[in-house]
Amino acid sequence: MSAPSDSTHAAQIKRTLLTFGPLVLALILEIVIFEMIGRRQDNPGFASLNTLILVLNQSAVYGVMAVGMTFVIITGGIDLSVGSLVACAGVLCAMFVHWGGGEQVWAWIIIGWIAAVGLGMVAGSVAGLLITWFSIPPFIATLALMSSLRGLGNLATDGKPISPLPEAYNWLGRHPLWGQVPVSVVLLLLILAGGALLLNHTQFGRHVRAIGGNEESARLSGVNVMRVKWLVYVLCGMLTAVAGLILSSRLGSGSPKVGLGDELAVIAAVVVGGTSLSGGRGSIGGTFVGLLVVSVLNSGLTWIGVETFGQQVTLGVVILAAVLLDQLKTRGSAF
Amino acid sequence: MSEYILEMRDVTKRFPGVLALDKAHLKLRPGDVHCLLGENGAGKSTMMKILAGAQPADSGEILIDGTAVQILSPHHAQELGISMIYQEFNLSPYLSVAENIFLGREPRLGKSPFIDWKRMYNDSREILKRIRVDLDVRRPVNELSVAQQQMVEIAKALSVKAKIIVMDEPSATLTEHELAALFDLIRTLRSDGIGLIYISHRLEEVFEIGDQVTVMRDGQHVATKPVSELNREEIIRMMVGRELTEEYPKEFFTRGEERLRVEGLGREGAFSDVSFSLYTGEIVSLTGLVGAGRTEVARAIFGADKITAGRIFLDGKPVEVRSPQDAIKYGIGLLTEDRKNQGLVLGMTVRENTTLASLKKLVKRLFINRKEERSVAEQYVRELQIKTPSVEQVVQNLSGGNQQKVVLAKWLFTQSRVLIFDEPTRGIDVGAKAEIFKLMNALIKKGVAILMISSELPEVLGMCDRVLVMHEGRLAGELTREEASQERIMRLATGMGKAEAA
Repeated sequence: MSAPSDSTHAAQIKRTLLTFGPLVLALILEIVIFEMIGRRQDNPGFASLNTLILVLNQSAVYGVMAVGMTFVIITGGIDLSVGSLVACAGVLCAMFVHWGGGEQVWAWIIIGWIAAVGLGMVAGSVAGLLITWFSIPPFIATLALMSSLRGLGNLATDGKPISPLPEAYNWLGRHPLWGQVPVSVVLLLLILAGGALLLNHTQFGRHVRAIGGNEESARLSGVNVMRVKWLVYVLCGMLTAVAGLILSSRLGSGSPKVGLGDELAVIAAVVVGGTSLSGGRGSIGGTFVGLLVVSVLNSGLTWIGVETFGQQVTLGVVILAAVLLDQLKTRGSAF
Repeated sequence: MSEYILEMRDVTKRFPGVLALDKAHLKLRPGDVHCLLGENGAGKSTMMKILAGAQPADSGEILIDGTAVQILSPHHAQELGISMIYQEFNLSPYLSVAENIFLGREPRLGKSPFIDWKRMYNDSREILKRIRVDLDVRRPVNELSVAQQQMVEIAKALSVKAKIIVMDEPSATLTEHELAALFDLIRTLRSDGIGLIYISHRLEEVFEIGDQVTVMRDGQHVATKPVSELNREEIIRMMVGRELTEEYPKEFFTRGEERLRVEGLGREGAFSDVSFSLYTGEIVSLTGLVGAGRTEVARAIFGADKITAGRIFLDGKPVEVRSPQDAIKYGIGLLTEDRKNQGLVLGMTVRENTTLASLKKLVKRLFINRKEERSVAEQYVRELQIKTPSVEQVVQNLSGGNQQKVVLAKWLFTQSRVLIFDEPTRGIDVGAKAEIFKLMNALIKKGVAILMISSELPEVLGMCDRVLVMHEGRLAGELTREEASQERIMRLATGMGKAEAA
């Protein structure tokens, strides 16, 4: 290696450390604190592999959504419809399996998967078209979609969850591979890796970042801005549907009521992970760590006996802290 | 009372890795227009930021009316009578002229929280009358022209009783006519005893309006002299620190075949019936007053805006350019006037900006070949002598001239055969300008056809083989290099040259 590329490697490592360092530190701090408090309460063992798998399992649904959301937010957009879409995807798959009535269960499950993912892509496609072709601000377009999709899910099921479903339905959400790693966790890790590759090493990913950085410059550099933005919402819809399948499989039912407020939790994880809401800046790695920070916090609080209400308050504080930290960092490096 | 309204002594400011100001000084008399000159990075802006209270100095003294002061914040600077007028105005677009002038200092009805509109409007009218500007004080400023907005900024400065007004490149976006109005206004301010610091890259203006000149280089004070004791060459030498052999290093090549031809090109509401040809081996300039439709023609050829009439031919064959993607496919590149908002993604690196328009070439089996990408970028950094620590530098941190080179690198990597430069030297210092012109020469030599849009007549006359002049959305005439003169171009540009051209 020649000298200049060595220095760029060093710069890259430095930048990576600067981006993830504080977050990883926060993560470790969380684990240590919960372990210590746990021991005081005669409840050691928070810092363990089991917890990690538990946390990953719990974050699989949000995590899969967060990958898609990261892409959307990097273009400078937002998708508020994911919480409703999660429910719709689960409902649709459950409906197919229910119709199947116990015959050829796996065939129906696979048909359900395909249909749900298709639905996610269609929903994302609609959002993308509204935003690009009709120039409706993402916030408004997806807000409308959030309401309509929630309504559709309720209409299709009369507001009641679809259950019971055959045992095999739980495979995606609960089946352990190699003894203890659930399928959903493996899927999450694969999607994270795929998302990172897509964002960092493909033309599409580069265009996504260019659009978020400066849409007009990107357009005048020959980037097909409309198409890329549209695809970003299709991708987000697709991944949200996958998340919906995991959730529905885990619950063993297709409920139109799930996923309420999920959009905010997912956006929180993405923002805590350092992706800028004004676009152009962000990473899948950051989103993953952001997700872990939030999930470990929730699991840890449960571990030490702080219940939902307390968790909500703490999550708010963490979001603010993360964004403040990010602002300090960008201000510091402005000159 | 001191002779000087403002003295800055031994001002030093260090940023990580750079000594931005090294014991710089500046003395301003009331009623003087003091031109502050220097290349980009010479320390002018840092000096002014310190004066405006936007940044603290590491050491040094600032005296106002002979009294030492510590400028703590922009607000404090304002209280001390210092007003800055930046290139990007600090106006609130949907508020009226009067609301902007009194923003943050609205007159109240007695001690009530309600605004005394009558007084605000009257006072605003008074101030505008004083600077002889005729504007409706109730109009929202976004309906005003750039020049009028600038007048509002100046009115705002006067309303806070500014004694020192700093203007940073006030002429950059003005037409000739508006510039004359600005100079009239500056003369009025001067006779009122206000001290003006005037920053500009256009030396003609210095000779027209300036009283004193201070030249800075590498953060240091080089010289302060009355304008009357200086000439153009001397100023440039002091700025660059060496003899600049040629400001316009024009080289001549034989004219080759026709590369681009447009016939009857038009876009409703912008321009119409524009026809011309571009040959290899020449630089053709498209000039005219701001608003004559030059940029619009360029954008239309590049597919950034739709055309409603006319045809485009490339190498004699008709082509349809419906989008920038099409233009790039045909080998047409556009270096926009507004580099920061239209040419670059500022938050991306030199490498990423260089390859943005032709990433496809670097994709192997779905993925971008990073190693190849880096070597491409490094090659252009060497070739164009882009001053950057590495290709991983974010372009935001580069100087104007180097940013322009990155934009150029982007279009070179697309293998452009027609390059449209829109105001290629705007905001770029003298030394970097000559470098950009040399690069143009090298490109022509390689067979690229160049269309250069420029408002700077000396640069048009210095670099072009032919000049196309636009007036109100139409081509008013074409001049060869021999025929062209400032006067003839201006006659055509102002619509007076019709008879002569015919």
